[in-house]
Amino acid sequence: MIHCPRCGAANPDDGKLCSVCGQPLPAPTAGRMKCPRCGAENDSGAVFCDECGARLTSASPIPESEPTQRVPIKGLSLPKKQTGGLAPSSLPDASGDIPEEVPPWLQKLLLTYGLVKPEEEEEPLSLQDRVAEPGREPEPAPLAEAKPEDLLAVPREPGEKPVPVEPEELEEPEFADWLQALRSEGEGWEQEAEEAKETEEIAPPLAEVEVSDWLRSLREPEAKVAAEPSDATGLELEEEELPDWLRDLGESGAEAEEIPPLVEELPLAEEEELPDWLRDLGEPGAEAGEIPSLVEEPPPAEIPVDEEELPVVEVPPAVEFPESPVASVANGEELPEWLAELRGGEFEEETIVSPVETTPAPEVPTFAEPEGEEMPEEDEEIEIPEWLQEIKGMEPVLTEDVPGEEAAPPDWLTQPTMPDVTIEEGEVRVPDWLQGPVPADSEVTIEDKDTAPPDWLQEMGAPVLPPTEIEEEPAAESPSRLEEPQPSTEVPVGEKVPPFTSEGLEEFAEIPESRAPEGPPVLEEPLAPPEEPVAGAEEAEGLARADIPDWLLALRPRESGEETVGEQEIAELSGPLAGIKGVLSVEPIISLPHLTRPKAVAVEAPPISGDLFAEIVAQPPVSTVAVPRRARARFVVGVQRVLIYLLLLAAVVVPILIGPIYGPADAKELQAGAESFYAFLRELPADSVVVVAFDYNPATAAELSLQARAIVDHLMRRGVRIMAISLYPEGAALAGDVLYELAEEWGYIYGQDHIHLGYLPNQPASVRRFLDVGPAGEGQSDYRDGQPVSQSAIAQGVNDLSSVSLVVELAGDESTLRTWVEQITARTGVPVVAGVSAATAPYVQPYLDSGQLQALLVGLPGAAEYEAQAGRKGKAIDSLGSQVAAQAVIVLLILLGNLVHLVTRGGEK
Amino acid sequence: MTDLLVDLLTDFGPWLAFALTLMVFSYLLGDNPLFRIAEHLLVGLALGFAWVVAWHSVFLPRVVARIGSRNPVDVGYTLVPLVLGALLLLKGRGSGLKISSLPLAYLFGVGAAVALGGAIFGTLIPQIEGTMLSLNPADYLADYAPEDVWYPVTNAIFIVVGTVCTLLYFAFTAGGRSRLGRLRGKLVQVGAGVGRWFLMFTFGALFGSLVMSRISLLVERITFLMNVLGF
Repeated sequence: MIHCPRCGAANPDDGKLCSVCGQPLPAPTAGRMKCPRCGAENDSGAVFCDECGARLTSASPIPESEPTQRVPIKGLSLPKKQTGGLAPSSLPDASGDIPEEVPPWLQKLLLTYGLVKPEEEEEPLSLQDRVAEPGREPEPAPLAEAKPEDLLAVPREPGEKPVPVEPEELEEPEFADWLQALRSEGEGWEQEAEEAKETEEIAPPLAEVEVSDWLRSLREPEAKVAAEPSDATGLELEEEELPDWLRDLGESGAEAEEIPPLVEELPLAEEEELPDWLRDLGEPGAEAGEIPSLVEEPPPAEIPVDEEELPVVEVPPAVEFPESPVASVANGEELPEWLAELRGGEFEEETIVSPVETTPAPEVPTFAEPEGEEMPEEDEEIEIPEWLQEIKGMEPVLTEDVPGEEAAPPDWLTQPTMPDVTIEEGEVRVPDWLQGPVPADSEVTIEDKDTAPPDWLQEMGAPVLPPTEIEEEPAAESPSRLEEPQPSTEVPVGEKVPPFTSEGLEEFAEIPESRAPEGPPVLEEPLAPPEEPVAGAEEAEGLARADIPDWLLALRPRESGEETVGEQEIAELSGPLAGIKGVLSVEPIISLPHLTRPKAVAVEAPPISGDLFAEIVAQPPVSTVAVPRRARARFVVGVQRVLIYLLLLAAVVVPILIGPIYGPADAKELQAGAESFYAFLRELPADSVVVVAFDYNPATAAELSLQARAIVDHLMRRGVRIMAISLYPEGAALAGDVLYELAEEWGYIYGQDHIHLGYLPNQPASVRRFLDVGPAGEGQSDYRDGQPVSQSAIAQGVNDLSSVSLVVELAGDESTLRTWVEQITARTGVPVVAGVSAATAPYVQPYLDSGQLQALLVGLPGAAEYEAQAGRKGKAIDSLGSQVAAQAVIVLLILLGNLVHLVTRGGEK
Repeated sequence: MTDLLVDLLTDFGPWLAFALTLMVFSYLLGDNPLFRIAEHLLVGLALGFAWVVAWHSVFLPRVVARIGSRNPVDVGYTLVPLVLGALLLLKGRGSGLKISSLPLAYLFGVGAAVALGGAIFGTLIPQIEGTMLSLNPADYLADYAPEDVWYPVTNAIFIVVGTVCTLLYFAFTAGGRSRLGRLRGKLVQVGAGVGRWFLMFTFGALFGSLVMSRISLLVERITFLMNVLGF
């Protein structure tokens, strides 16, 4: 049986790949097992390496003494937290408080990521679900399988005590149906995990794990990358699933055969997409002190927790491992405060307990811990994942010169990026994961003190580190994590916290592959085998091209042109940008104080304002005689109005002065208009009684008086008796003027031939009564003398209206005419003729058309026509010339006004 | 005294009228006190004259004379309307007495009844009958010569079409969605368009008639002024 160096699963001796995680298995050495860390051969049954103490098999189950401290892990919630793109992967970096030494912009980033979760969070959730799902079917993963996910899942602050939370309660609402279904299938996995812990199976029966076909198919490609475990891990992360920037990270990491977490996170290989400041991170000279900032940049930093194995997680006191990019913290390991805080802040609600904390690291022989660093759980064994050890053992170059006491970066971290890197004593050690972009074959010696990590990083362990050679970390360490979920991955206490990106990605990729039966296509895609396994150090398998998220770009705190400071000449050593100059290294940008905004340059403004103002003020005021436009317009309008008045006056006066335009010959032409009216009166028998109603007032007397004069004259000429009446008080007076004048002319006797009945109230009722009782009815008195009409001679024989031969209505308005017509038409058949004002003619015409009016005279022309018909040239004919001239002027003015309006387009011109 | 006044009015009356006419014409140059004076004089004199006419034509013969006759029947018939008239005066003071509404009720009731009867039988029905014209020229041969028959026929067409279309113009209800309704809507729309033109011609005729009437008044006034001046 060969235990998988990655997940610890037991595999047949002849197996080449882990049946669970697809990790290339070390060649069996006749019952000997090669230490994945130091390469020393140990007995196959050995748990720890004889040489370095690294754990050869998967982590041991959680000690039974701590179950009380366990907190139920929300298996399903873990994935969610890791979803934060880059951040979720690198759990160790994401947790903890932001050190004071961290530049402000970095703190800002940290806070931002802690508070704001990018959109990518959801993807990891699905992956996590997968992890949770498959975890149930196979046996519970041992403690050694503590994955980065587990660390990520710990959402607590360093000093916070684990709070048990029911995973189902918290997780249920957050998962999709299909995820819940998967979860339901795997229910009980926690119990299994508990059982497994009780049995303390160091190496879980990985062989028994049933891996679905599709997962196996995904594993196959990894075999090709067996030589490079890092590649293999990275391959598992599908290009589609992983963001581009993560892929790039993987690629860059592949170059160095060991992808340092930071390198993985930062798409150093990206040309266009990576910001310069991110590219700098990948430069060989990148300082470890700045790395955490990068690590923190990814939004949600989560410590993955193996839910199956470690349902109860105890968050240890803050232990800073700035150098350790390990994705999963081993049992008892303390996360840096800032890391823990990030974790806690992001996933406060989640009660996922990281296995690292709950299970003290049993053995940490190879991982040097920082001196003087507070490591309450330092004594605890730090379990190096078997798969890590395996990988380490497979590494061609392994420098294990790191003293055990020193807080050296984990081997698996240092190796992938800088296999040959040696850090001189007294120098600040550059985290391995920062050296990712450095080619594997390149030796980088950090001598510059300036590049030392910031104090806060040093406090976390970096400063304490003595000069040590950075051990080569198994290349598969971080990439593999990115690519595949590693249930057995554990980070021992004191181990460097790997960058969040690579680890989180690993988890994402690993989980689905190893456990998830079959997820939705979207999730399956990332699990597809890498198309091209990393060949050499060019590309990291499984790492997609990095696409810096917008939010990350937006947070980029640099000035324009800053990236070109001193970095143009540096050629990129790894990744797709290898050989390209101008790629910024990580260190300079990070080390330099960041200026979020370019300094404002004060430009002295020309002193022109004051002089110009004084000059303008000094100018003499320009006298602007503003002619009020309104007054001028009013004047113009007034002039035009006066002109119209004068024109009309001329049109009226001139005909009067020159004499009537109509002569006797012309009068015949006017006869036609009043022919019917004249003919009707001509037919009246002599001595017949005619009622003439003078229903007009001075307003219309100019027309109707002429008509009345012509009509009365005609009637008197015919000897017809006339009874005058008016519905207007003024009409009574006007009637008397006409009647008395013509009566005197024709010798009519008042009361015998004619009589003035006076005023009749203008009401239908009064007219009705007048028609009922007759002109000589009771109470009717004459206008002139006030005597009863009945006593007059003219009233003899006129008892009612039937005795009246004709009613002549001289109406100034239509109302009086309507009253007469209606009442007469409704009650009697007395014929009615009307002479009306021109303004009333349109209203009266229908009565003429209907036959209710026997004849009609209209206005001054009607009077003139009647005069012409009667053969008596009167004032009407004399005034007709002025009437015609004035009307012509009016017509001309109207036409002229319309023409001007058209020409001037409504006055615009 | 009366003769002197009559002589003064006879001699200076035309000049007074001349001056008042010019004062009214002064309004052409804008509102001014002279116009206001003439206006106030006109209103006051018109009202005073109306009162005198009403007194002489109504009160004296129909109230005072009847009451003075001491005929109980005449007095009784006179007092009833007189009391009603007195109650009508209370309305002018805003009195809330309901009894003051009695004369108004009587006036409106009788007036509406009389007016309605006159409107229906004197205007509505005759006017409707007036639009029921025959468009057959043969029907007009009795009154018109054959060569002149076109005139009454054309007039009848105009009257019928103009009346119907003008009424359609005030038909604000649209047709329904049904086929018939849409057809009705179309017809109403077309008829309303034609009726709109008839209305336009009618308004034009009214305006022209009004102008003609006012020009006649102007001519009369100018003629008066010229006569006063000796022309």
